[in-house]
Amino acid sequence: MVLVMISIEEYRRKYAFGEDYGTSEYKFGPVAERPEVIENRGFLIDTSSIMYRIAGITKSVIVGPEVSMYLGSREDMSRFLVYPMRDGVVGKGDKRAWDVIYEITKYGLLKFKPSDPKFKGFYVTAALSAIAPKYMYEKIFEIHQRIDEEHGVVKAVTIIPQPLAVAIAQKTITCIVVESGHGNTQITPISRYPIRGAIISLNRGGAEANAITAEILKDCGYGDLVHEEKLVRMVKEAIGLVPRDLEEAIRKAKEDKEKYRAIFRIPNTPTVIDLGDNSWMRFLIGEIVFDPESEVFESYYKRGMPRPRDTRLGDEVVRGTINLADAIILSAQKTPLELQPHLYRRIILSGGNFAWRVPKGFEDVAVDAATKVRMLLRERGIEASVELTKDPLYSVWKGCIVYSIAVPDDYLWSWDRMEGWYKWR
Amino acid sequence: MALSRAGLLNAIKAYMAKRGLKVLLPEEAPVPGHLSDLVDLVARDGDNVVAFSAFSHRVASDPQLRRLVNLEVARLSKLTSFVNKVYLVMPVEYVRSSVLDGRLFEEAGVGLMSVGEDGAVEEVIPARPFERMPLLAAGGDLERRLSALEDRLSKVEEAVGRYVRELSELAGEVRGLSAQLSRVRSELESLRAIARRPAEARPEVSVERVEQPEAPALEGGLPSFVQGNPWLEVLARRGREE
Repeated sequence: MVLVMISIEEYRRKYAFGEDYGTSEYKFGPVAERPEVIENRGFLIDTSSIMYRIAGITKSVIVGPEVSMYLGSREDMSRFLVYPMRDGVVGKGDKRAWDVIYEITKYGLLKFKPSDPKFKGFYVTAALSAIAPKYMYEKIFEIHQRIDEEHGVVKAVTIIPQPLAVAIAQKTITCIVVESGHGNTQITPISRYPIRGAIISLNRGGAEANAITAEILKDCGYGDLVHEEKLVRMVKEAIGLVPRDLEEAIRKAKEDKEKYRAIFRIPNTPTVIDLGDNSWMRFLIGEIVFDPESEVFESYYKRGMPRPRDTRLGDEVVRGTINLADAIILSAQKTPLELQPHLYRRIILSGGNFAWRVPKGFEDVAVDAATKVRMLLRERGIEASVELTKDPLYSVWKGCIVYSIAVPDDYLWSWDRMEGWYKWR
Repeated sequence: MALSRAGLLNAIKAYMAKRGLKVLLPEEAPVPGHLSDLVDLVARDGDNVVAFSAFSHRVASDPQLRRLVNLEVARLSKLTSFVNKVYLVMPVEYVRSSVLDGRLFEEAGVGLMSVGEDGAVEEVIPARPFERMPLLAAGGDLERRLSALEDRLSKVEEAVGRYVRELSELAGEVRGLSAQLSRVRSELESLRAIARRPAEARPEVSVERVEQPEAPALEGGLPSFVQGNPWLEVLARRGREE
């Protein structure tokens, strides 16, 4: 047996830095058990005023915890508060969004800038969505180079797709990572490298579960509440369930209405939402995440609920409503045949859209996300091992730290491989 | 011609009404009595309490105006412990770079609003938000806080006592280690003396060379998600396997 000794430079081990650019949060920091977290947003100060003609005023974008102090009215929020990412992607020409990304990145790096005179900059690994276009890579590199030129805090930077970071944090070399956030779901097979040609990105995520929750609320007479997006999300999280088998769950819920009755009291208000005889609908909320093609949803699509948009995979069109298990199989089929059984041996579910709980006493009708995917694959003749990430909040950042520590210093960035350290000094 | 104090305040009131700010009565404002002269209007904006002070002095020259404004900013900075934001409100013709020191405003955290002849209000320099310090409330509240502080103090005393005990134990251990070190030194000296003797005087000793396994320096002191991670080996080979 050959024992491979890993020799890691002390410097890189000390000054590894991870950055996870999530749609709602930016997680960052050097080697530690947990990262720092701030919201991925910025407050832009109105530069059209004469402020800039007066000496000494320099700050134009506020990021970090200070942002909430600047929020006065709703008008301010819509005019000056910028969330730069939409489903993990920043528009190429969206200057305001890129200004916020620059400030957020600078905030993170300067927060941890050490006073050590031997410090020559961090080895930064940034994680972006698997579907981030090439210009985002270029911009992120450019931002780090600019911050380094201004403050001397970046020695080298690299970018990895978030699903690869999840696999690294889970200590799994061959697997399929299914990451599902608010607006999209990415399926990424990984075998030492992400298999880019097999990545499938579906235009659906937590937003679809929110949409069906809003429709259910309207049907049950709570139409006035559906304009508050946050409230709809709270209702979804409180009453939504993933059915083991949709038809069976609906039948049981209709037979024993009291047991499955969905009641939700809005915190700090006297308002109570009670689905009453329609409580069986709570199973639709979880089902749509895994199988939006189910016939039961057709009536909702016809009534105006948006149908998830189709997506392209090479020359092929993948239906937006494809069953999640079919999408996983489709992605695996794009990899070599002999690799496929190894991929099915470890399917990792990550992201907030897979955080479904099973209330006590409901085990016969409701399941968690991993069990649901395992069952759907079994129906298609595939025995797979499916698990949820152990640490869904921080796993991407953790993968970034391992990447920074391990990748050799002389492995330089290549646009063909989309890997390696990007350096300018 | 510069706006009067009443003109400035009317414009600010209209501005607040437009933005949905709620004007607070003097007794509702969390400003202590000795500072209340500094404030002309106090309003609630979301979670923030914002104070406005109108500047309507008539001045003969720019240097005089500059001195007065700087003085006013210094006085207003006292309010930053009691409200979240503080604004100085001035007629727009006073807002000139030859008069205002933007850095002073920024450092003091005081914002600046200008009011035009037509009543148009503009936020020239945004106020820096501050954490508000609650005014001391009724006696009962004070007593409760004092008793909480006493509890915390006794906990701190306990902790200090514990640390003192631990320190004295550590000091004892250090003294023991120091004695051991002296013994090791003297043994080392005697070994050196033996080594300096002629070779024939020394007995032949066969030394078996033992290969020490190189410790994986990487693992020690690293977070749990790094330790034992198979990706370390995979990633360390990047660029070396082609």
